[in-house]
Amino acid sequence: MTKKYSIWLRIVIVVVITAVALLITSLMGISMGSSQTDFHSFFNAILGKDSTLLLIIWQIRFPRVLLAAFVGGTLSLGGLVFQALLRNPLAEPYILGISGGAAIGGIIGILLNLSRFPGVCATAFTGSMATLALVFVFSSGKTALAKDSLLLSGVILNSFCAAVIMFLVSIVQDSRLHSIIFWLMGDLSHTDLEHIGYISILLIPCFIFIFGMSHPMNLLLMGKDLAQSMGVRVKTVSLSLLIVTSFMISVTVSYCGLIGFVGLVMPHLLRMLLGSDHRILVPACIFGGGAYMVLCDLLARILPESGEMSVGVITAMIGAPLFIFLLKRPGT
Amino acid sequence: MKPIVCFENVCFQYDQRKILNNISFQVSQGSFFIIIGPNGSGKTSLLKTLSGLEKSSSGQISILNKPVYRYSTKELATVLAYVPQTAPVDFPFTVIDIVRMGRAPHLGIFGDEKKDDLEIARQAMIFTNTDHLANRKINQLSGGECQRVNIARAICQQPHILLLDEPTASLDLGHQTRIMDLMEKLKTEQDMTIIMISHDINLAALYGDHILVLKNGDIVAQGSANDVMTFDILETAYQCIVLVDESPLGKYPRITLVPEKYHYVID
Repeated sequence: MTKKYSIWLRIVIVVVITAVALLITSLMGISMGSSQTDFHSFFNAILGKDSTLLLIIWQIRFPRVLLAAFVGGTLSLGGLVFQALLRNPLAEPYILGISGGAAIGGIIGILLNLSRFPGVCATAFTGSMATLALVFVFSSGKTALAKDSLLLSGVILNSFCAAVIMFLVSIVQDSRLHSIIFWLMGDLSHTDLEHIGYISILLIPCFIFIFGMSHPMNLLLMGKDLAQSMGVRVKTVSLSLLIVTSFMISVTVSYCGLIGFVGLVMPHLLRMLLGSDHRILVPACIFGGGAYMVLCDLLARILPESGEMSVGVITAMIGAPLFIFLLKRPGT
Repeated sequence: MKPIVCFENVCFQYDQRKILNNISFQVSQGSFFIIIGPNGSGKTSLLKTLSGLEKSSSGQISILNKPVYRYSTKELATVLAYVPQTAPVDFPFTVIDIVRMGRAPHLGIFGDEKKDDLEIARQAMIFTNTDHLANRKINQLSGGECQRVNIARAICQQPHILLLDEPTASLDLGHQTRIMDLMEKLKTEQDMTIIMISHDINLAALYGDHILVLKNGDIVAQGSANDVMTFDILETAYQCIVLVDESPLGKYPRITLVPEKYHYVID
């Protein structure tokens, strides 16, 4: 990315490119599916010639594509923020134990026969917030915000949660087991526009806040001391970013379960393509991560002969080779 | 010369351990001030309390007649810039990205640069001879190049005072003199005050206008190179035997380490 242009122009260019990618994948996502899979019938439906298909598009595919876009954007952005905050390229959105806590909460919700929304979502959200609070307690005191104590607490809590999850899964025998497994693998299929409305109200302010903090995040990558010597109020900035990001991840995880890989790989992919400036990476992650997730969800729906596979399988199967390809690209 | 930095009876504790005991000294504006002393003598803590990274437990530190704690983080960053020993960056920023970060204290939260800011960054890179590296990745540079980029970033902050924590520690002879010459140029051409920690007492003797010797959190001696670079003071501070004579360049003390096998010569 050339440095001759002002930062705003570079942001606009990147946003336009990633937004177009999101738009194209979304159009594909809306027009293709298990019932009708070509653009011709899609346009017929839009023009009012096929009311059944229009209903499917409007009630099922459109909310699902929106959800995928939000989830992809949130997870990529979450990974980006945690990598900067913990100054660790291996960080991903679930690293602080949010996923483990949400999963335990979600499983308890399912075991209590609660409805998917708001019941299971609420228990999952409670679980993720509880683990987050625990992580803060563990890593606070003299070592507060020292990157390693936070990271270690998160990793340890996550492994403890994994054991609890295995325990819960192994004592369940009935049909609820299937719901649990599906929840753990991540599931974008149960949604409607009303829920998307709630989710967007919660997520969009987080996106805006993180975008506003993108330049201090650049400085944070230079280390705590250097960032402060350049005028960043390190404690305030890191704590607020940590809380906002964890909240945003908890919202998506509680709503659609654990979708892995995208949050680790998308920030790296975009960093390799666009450089390390967070003022560009934040919008790129929101739109680019969204586009990637919409595409993966589409493949997860149309690839299997019958039914659908977990979108997490696709995110990893495409992401890993793509990542290696970019890593090995000459000149990087 | 008027003082720009003033330490008055400053104490600093970390985990109940006393690091600095009742330290008082002044730094004159536009001087090259070098702090020497053995490992663990409190040199880095002294720099950290001055730069607001750590809070002193008692006493007062003022910069330009204003106590450090009354500066906002951002305001302080326009007065003081800090260059660490090494600044490991795991993320592949380009050199120009890093140098431009130095403008942050002068910009809004979003870091939106004006034309002037880019010009200041360009000048800083020319001054430090890093302009040819502009589009290289920081993690692909050598130690000496990296340190020059770091200094360019600090100059970009347009500070009154530059703080450096052993900037030449891992550099070869050529790079050491180039960095020190650069500091002297900043001092004479831009009237910047340089405060540097150094482990190399010969470099300190050659460049320092005023030298402060620390040991166990106390000031052992301070003054010009000829005042403090004496057999007694250096032996007290470092607990090793040295020979002090005049440098062939004249007027500077030259310090020669005496290994144990030659101690008999001294006796």
